[in-house]
Order: sequence, then structure tokens, then C-alpha cells
Amino acid sequence: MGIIIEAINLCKTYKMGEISIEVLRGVNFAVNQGEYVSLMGPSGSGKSTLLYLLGGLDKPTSGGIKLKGRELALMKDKEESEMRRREIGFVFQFYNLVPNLNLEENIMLPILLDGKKLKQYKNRLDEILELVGLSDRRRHTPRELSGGQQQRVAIARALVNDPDIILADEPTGNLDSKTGTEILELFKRINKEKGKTIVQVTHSHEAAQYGTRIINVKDGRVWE
Amino acid sequence: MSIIFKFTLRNIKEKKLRTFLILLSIIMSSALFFASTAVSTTVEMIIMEQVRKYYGSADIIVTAGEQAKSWAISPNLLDNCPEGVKYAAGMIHGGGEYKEKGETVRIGIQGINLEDLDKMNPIILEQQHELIPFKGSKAIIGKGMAEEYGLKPGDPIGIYMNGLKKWFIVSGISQPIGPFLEDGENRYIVVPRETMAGLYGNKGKVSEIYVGLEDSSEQDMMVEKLSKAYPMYRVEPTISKAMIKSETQQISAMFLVIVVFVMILSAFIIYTSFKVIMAERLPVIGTFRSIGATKKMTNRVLMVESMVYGIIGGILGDILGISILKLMIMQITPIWESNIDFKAYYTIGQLIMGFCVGLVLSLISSFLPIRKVSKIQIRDIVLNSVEKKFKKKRWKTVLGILFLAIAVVVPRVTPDNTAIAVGIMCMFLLVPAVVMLVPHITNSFLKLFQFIYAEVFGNEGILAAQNLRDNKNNLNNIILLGMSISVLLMIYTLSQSIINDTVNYYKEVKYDITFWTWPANRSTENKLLSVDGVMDTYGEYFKYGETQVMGKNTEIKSILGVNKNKTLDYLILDIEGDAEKLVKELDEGRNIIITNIFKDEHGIKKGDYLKLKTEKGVFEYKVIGFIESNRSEGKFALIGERFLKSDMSVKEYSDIYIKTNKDSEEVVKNIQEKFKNRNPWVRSVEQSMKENMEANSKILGIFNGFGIMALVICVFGVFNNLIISFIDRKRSLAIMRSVGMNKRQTLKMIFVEAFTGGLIGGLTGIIIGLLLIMNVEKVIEALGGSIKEFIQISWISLAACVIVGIAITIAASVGPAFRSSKLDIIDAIKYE
Ligand SMILES: Nc1ncnc2c1ncn2[C@@H]1O[C@H](COP(=O)(O)OP(=O)(O)OP(=O)(O)O)[C@@H](O)[C@H]1O
Ligand SMILES: [Mg+2]
Repeated sequence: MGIIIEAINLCKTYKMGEISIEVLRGVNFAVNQGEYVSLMGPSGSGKSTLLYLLGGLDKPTSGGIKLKGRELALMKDKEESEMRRREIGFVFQFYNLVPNLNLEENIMLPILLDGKKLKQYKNRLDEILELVGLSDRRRHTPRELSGGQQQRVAIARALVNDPDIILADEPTGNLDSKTGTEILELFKRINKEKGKTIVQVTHSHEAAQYGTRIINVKDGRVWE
Repeated sequence: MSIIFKFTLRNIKEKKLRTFLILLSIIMSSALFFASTAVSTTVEMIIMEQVRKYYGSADIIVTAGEQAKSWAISPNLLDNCPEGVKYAAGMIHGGGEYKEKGETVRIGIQGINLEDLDKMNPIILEQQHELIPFKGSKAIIGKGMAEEYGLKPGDPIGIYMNGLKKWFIVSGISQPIGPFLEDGENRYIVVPRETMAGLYGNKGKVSEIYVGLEDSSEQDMMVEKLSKAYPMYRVEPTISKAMIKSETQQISAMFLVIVVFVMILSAFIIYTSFKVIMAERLPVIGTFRSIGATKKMTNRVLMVESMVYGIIGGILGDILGISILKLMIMQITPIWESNIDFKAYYTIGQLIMGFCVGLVLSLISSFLPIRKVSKIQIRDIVLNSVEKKFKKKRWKTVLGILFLAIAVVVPRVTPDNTAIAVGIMCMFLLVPAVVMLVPHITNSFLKLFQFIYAEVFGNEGILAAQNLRDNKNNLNNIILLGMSISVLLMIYTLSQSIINDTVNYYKEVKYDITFWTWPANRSTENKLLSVDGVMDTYGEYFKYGETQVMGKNTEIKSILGVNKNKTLDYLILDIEGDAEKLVKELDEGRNIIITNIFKDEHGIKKGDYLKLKTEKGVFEYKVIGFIESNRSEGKFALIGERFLKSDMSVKEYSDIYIKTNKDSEEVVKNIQEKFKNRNPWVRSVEQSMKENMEANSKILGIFNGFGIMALVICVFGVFNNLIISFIDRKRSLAIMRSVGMNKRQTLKMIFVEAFTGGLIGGLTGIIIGLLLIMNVEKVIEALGGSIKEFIQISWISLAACVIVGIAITIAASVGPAFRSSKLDIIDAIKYE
């Protein structure tokens, strides 16, 4: 099994006027295909930052990232966007759904952006709604959903285009323990059955147990 | 309190574009309002000033009566004058020719005493030469004439009067005021009264007495009073001030209708801007309230803010209004005056009104959003649980449809006497109807075109359509575009129709030249026929002036004497039925053709008899037919030429129409040459058309200008909305980027949205525009006009509506689109 995600000497510094905050100072690690990695560390340690960098949502100050062997920094906007909608499913800490789109439309966004005909993905939609248990809410807008439901929509959106990599920022942080467990079970299953690579940020050791590997983040560095 | 003010001030400073937009709306509204109200004053003054050349400040003119044997009357007639008369100035009016530099100029001559002239029409002498005593062959000329012919005080000046050359001495040169005002038409000189009386062989007499009143507003009453006191004389108003007033006020009223639309547009912009302001300030207002500020305090700060906008906007609006007024006057002032320093007349009251419009507009438009905020509980503000949801309100839809239905149906069934008010009201009713229905129009459109969109624009099209659904900023844009484009379409269509009508009218005209001189009779006609290029002529007999219709309590204001052989060859008469047969019948006996308007108004049937009272007696005319015409407000009739001559004692032609067999311009010159000592009025049809079109296009230009200002406000509104929209949507855009939307797709989506907004806006504009035109049509009809036949809605103008709408939204989207491609995704989505 090959390396699917690789961080090489990753540095991220935020400049706020005179002060600069070095959030990541030379991070190196590699994730193999089919791994289920949990990133752990104290609040403010840079877990989210790292995840954004891996997903190409942010640019590192120095260092590089390779996804499926391709250097992110060398990709054009078009390729990078395509990568984001086909190869990566991103689950945000704060769900980030488009408020004026209903649940269905939110989930189908990556498909739509991929220029595919929605009709051909009707079954896929039903399947995924079943999976996250929101079949009866398809026309609701995000505002009409609870935090946990919104989180599940975000997960459904991340899974809909069948990406190889799932990057999830505290996917169960806002869920009750029962739903949380369900989601984690789901992750575990798609990791096992479909061989998807998952990188999740979590605070809970319990959640980390579902994974196959734990990476700690602190003081701008990582270790296992 | 002061901290709240500071906070407000900082907000104003930060949101420069919005502040500008609010101010612009207020400024435009008060400026246009002021200009439209003041234009009537100015036009009134301009007309008065022009008329003053002939009548000065005189209100009434007294001349010899119809039965009198001579025109000469005693200047002392009104010496023991009735109360209310300020002065009575006798004058002998005459004319002559001045030949110089190979040209012959017609000169009007006023024989009047200097004291009288000073009372009636004062002049300002620039130079003089032994002027006093003003006797003998002394003459005062205007500066214009002096400059043109190099005349200096003391120079002799020869005027041909009745073929004899009479010499005067230039004894005074006056500034171009009073009789010496340059209006491009008549030129006057002033000579001593007795000199003129002598020249006309009536020493001690005058031809007219000009009466000035203590109170000009009593003009009509005094005319009546003097008529009774001097039954043997003719007493007439110089000009009817009441009529001028009502006419100029009509001009104002027309402008005001458009201004009200501009104001509604502004109110809408201020209202939406304040809603955004409220939304922005809400958290801070909540915080202030939670630490002890009362509702009153926060409300007052907000109202003060809106008042500041209103005051600044009102003042600037007045300043801009004066410039607009000047521009408008420049537009309507005839060409010959454009080199004269024209003045804008307005009253302090109008300035104050303009200012108040700005202030009140700002206060009213901001009041609703402010009140809404003050109703929200502090708890909700602080916890940020204010209902943000877009609620579809059923009653709004119902009301919108109701308004629309009223605006469409009611004008069609209203009787004519209330049609004006109802029509205008219905026009304004369209505004709330549009505001309430636009969400539905938009959603239906989006639903309808969803599939086409998917085909044409791909999935970005679907996304764009999804984004536009219930999007407030988009709806606001559509409303703004719809309203301003509709007003523009209405103005454009109407003015184009008027121009087309003019062109069509002249296209149909069957003659080439109109001619008039005094006297105009058969011998004039014969002389005309001898002019090279004149092929045929028709002398038209026309009776102007009221002829009473006995027993009907009404009068006919103008009557055309129809010549069975010529009239139909020269004039376009919309006679119903067999025109030729009816015209022949007119010649056969006392038969009359009346207008349809007159028929309907008085319930007259074919075969009825009308008793017409004239100076010669009462004559019975049989109604034999009807004509479609709104001449003299429908109080117009046709009778046989010979009856017009015999019964109404019309002796001279009112006009002579000429058909040519050569280039009409050349023939015009030939005629002018032949009649040069008779001061003829000759115009070719092309010339008349050109003059008419020029006069029209000037006024129409102002209307179009008003419409364009509405569009300007709209453009800024759309820009502002799209910027707000972008700020609102930053997060959504970032989310889409995070799930794989590339920059090109983002741009495409934004521009498809803009395109759609513009398209729907343009289409809405067309719909409202057509409804507006329909209502205006009704209003004009009620006013006695008819434009239905020549209203032409061109496909080009409709296409232009859509293109303008799309162009505006696309242009306004360039900024947001550019910013979207520089969007920092993480920054936009990180925090809830
Ligand atoms: N735009 C920014 N400007 C300045 N500093 C930033 C910015 N974004 C993040 N930081 C800082 O970077 C550090 C890491 O933030 P990050 O969100 O990655 O933490 P985290 O590990 O995800 O914490 P949490 O568990 O609370 O989510 C924090 O100290 C934060 O203050
Ligand atoms: Mg985090």
C-alpha cells in the first residue's frame, strides 16, 4: 500500500502585525492508503490548521504536501479544485453548510460542481441519506436542523462523491454519544470495507480508538 | 449617549458607499422635486417676460368697439377710472419698414408718452440725446437694433410708413428690456404719442389703452367690470395670467408624476439600506441596551442619523436642484434667448419644500426598520436568535395580486371625469404590487427556466438559480431595476410616440407651405399664384372664438369653413362615413359636423339641430355627421364656407395653404420676396416639422433626463446590493470552494446570477412599463388627448430594457467577482 498523504517540513506562521505566531514548525509525516488516522492535541495546537493544509484549503508558509504523489503547491486552481471534490471529503468542525440550500442540495454540491447530471445520482443520494439517517429531512434547510443533524449532512456531503480521502475536523464534537458512535462506526466501516483513508481530528481518546493510528500535535510539531 | 453617537459616526465613515447611496437618493429626490415645482414659476416668468414686450405690466387692453367707425379712441377715457386701476396708458400702435444694408426689416412702432411707458413698461436708457421733451420726431430704439445698424444718439433713422419715408432722430438707446426685448420676432421703436397720432391723422387720439391694475389677480373681475362700464368699447385681458399659471402648472404636474417615481425608488433604497444598517448594528444595539441604554436612546440615535442624512441630502438636493432647473430652462428656452443670460426663478418656499422632501423621505423610509428593531427583545439580540428566516407571507401575495388587478382593470372602467386621478393612482399602485409580487415572479421564473438553465449554463446555472431563490438582495435588485426600467420605458415610448406622431402628421400633410399675412383674401391668393413655383392654393376660413350653442349651455370654440372643392384636398379631416358626400352637404345648407367628443358630451344625434348664436343672430344648423378630433377640446365644428362668411362674418383667410411644383424652400424665398413689404408668415411643411420636433424634443429631453436619473439611482442601488450580497455570501462561497468549486466556476456562477437578476429585472420592467403606458394612455385620453393610435412600442426598446438590466447587474458584479477569486477560504469559514 502506497503513501497517499505526505507532509514534508510543513510550516505555518500567522502574522498579526509585528507578532507572528508559528503554529506549525516543520511537520513531517506520511499516511498510507487505507489508514484511519486520528490527530490529537490541546486546543489551539494547530490541528485544524494542519487539516486545512492537507486539504489544500490553505497554503503553507513553507514545506510541501503531496496527495497521491502530486505536489499540491504545483497544482493549478482547476486541478486543485477537482482534487477537492473528487479525492477529498472534508468535514468541518463547524459543519459549514450553505444556508440557502436545502439538505439535498447541500449534499449534492460536489456532484454538481463536478459537472455531473444530478439525475444519475439519485440512488447515490438516497443511499447516503439512509446512511446518515436523514431520509425524512431532505427538503429542510440547515437552519431547520439541529447541530448533530447538520454535522451528519456535512458528513454525507463529504462522502457523496466517493472520495479516497476523508478529512474530518472533530466530526463528533457536537453529537450525542449515541450518534457520535454511529458516525465513528460508519467511518470505521468505510475505512475497512472500501479502503478509504481517513484523517480525523479529535479530543476524545475513545474516538481515537476507532482509528488505526494516532498522531499528536503540540507546539508546532507532531509525533506518534 | 455620546458613545452611541461616536459609534454611529464611525459606522457612517466605514460604510462610505452606503452613506453615499442614501445621500444620493435623497439628493436626487429633493433636487428633482424642487426643479419640477420651480420650473412652472420659471416658465411662467419667461412667458410673462416675453409678453411684457408687448403689454408691459398691463393687465387689460381697451380698444374701440365693434360698432365704432374708427379705431381712434380718447386717451382720457379712463381718467375718472374705477377703483382698482393703477394706470391707464394710451398708445398708438403702428408699423413700418426700415431698409438698411439691402434688407427690409419690419418695425413695430409704439406711440406713447414717456410717463406712460414708464408706468407700463419701463425701459433703461443707456444713451440719450436731447430726449426731453419727448416730442416731434424723436425716437427711442433698442440696443440690439442700434448695434446691428450702427445707430448712435442723434442719428437720423428713416422708416417707411405706408410707402412714405418718415424721418426720426435717435434720441435714446435702451437696454433690451420692455419693448426692446429681443425675442427674435418683432422689433419695436418708441416715438411720441402725438407724433404717431398725427401720422395716422387722428390727433389727440390713441388706438388702445393699456390698463394696469392694483391687484393683477383681479384681472378677470376687472375685465367684466370695465366691460360693463364701457359697453361701447372692447375690453380684454392682455394675457390671461390664470391661464398661463394653469398651463405652466400642468408642465410641473407632468414632471412631478415622474419625480414621485424617483422618490419611491429612493424611499425603497433608503428603506433597504436602513434595514442593512439595523442588521449590522443589532449586536451593538443589543449590547448598549443590555448595559442600560433605553429603547428611546437607541431609537433616537438612529433617527438622528436618518435626520442627518435627510438634512445634508436636502440641502445638497436644493443646490443640485437649482442646477437642474437651469438645465431644464436652458432646454426649454428658445434658441434666440440662449445667448441671453437666462435666469432661474424660484421661491424660498419651493426651496424649503425641496429640502423638506429630502428630510421627510429619509425619516419615513428609515422609520419602519428602526421601529422593527426597537421591538426586538434584548435577550434575542444578545443571544443572536433574531428570526432571520425569509418568511413568505400569504397576505402579501394576495394584496399584491389585488393591487395589480386594480391597476390593470380599474383605469379601463373608470368614467372620464375621474380618470386622471384614478389613472395616476393606479400607476402608483403598481409599485407596492411589484414589491409584493417580485418574489413570486422571480421564483416562478427560476422554476420555469431551471432546465433551460441547466442546459445552457451547466451545473453552475443550477447553482445560480438555487442561490437566487428568496435572495433578498437579488429581489431588491429586481425591484429597483423593474421600477426604473419601467419608468424609462414609459418615458421613452411616450416621447418616441409623440415624435413619430409629429413626423406622421407632417408626412400626411397634403400641402407644402403655410402662408399668412394681413389682410389675407382672394387678391392675396391671386398674388400668391403668380409666384414662381406656386401650383395651387387654398385659403382657409376659420372662426376662432366662442360661439354659443343655445339651450345646451356650452359653446363651440372653433369652426372651420369647409370648401367643398378644396378642403379635403388640403386638410386631413377624420370625418366618419363618406367624407366627400358630407362635405358637399355642408355646402348645400346650414349643416354642421361636430366632434365625437362634443356628441358624447351633449348626447347629440344625427339630425339634431344646433342653435348657434353669432353677432349676426341665431342660426339653426342640422347635425349631419361627426369628426374624430380633439381640436379645441372637442369644441370644434365644420360648416360650409359660405355660411361661415355670412353667419359668422368671417371675411379673411386664417391661413393660406400652398402646393408647389418646385422645391418648397425656394418657393418660400420667392414668396417672401414678393410679399416683403407685407411682413408675411411663411413656413414650409418641413420647416414647421423641424421647428415642432425641436420644441418637442427639448421638453422630451427633460423627461428622458428625469428617467435617466431614476436609472442612475437604481444603478448605485444595484451596486450597493451586490456588494452587500457578496459580504453576506462570503461564507457560502468559501464553502463551495472548499468542496471543490474552482475559481472559474465561481465566476461563472456569479455572472449567471447577475445575468438572471438583470434579465428578470428587465422583464419586470417591461411588464410594469407596459402597464404604466396603458395607464398614461388613459390619463391622456381623459385630458382630452389621444395617443393610442400612435403609441408604438418598438421591439428594440423592449430588448433595450432587458439589455440595460443585464448590463447593470453584470457591471455591478465585476467587483464582487474579482473579490471572490481572492477570497481567503479559511478566513471566511473558520468561525460560526
Ligand atoms: N487567521 C489566523 N490568524 C492568526 N492566528 C490564527 C489564525 N488562525 C488560527 N490561528 C492560531 O493558530 C493556532 C491554531 O489554531 P487551530 O484552529 O488550528 O487550533 P486547533 O488545534 O484546531 O484548536 P481547537 O481544538 O480548539 O479546534 C491558534 O493559536 C490560533 O489562535
Ligand atoms: Mg480546531
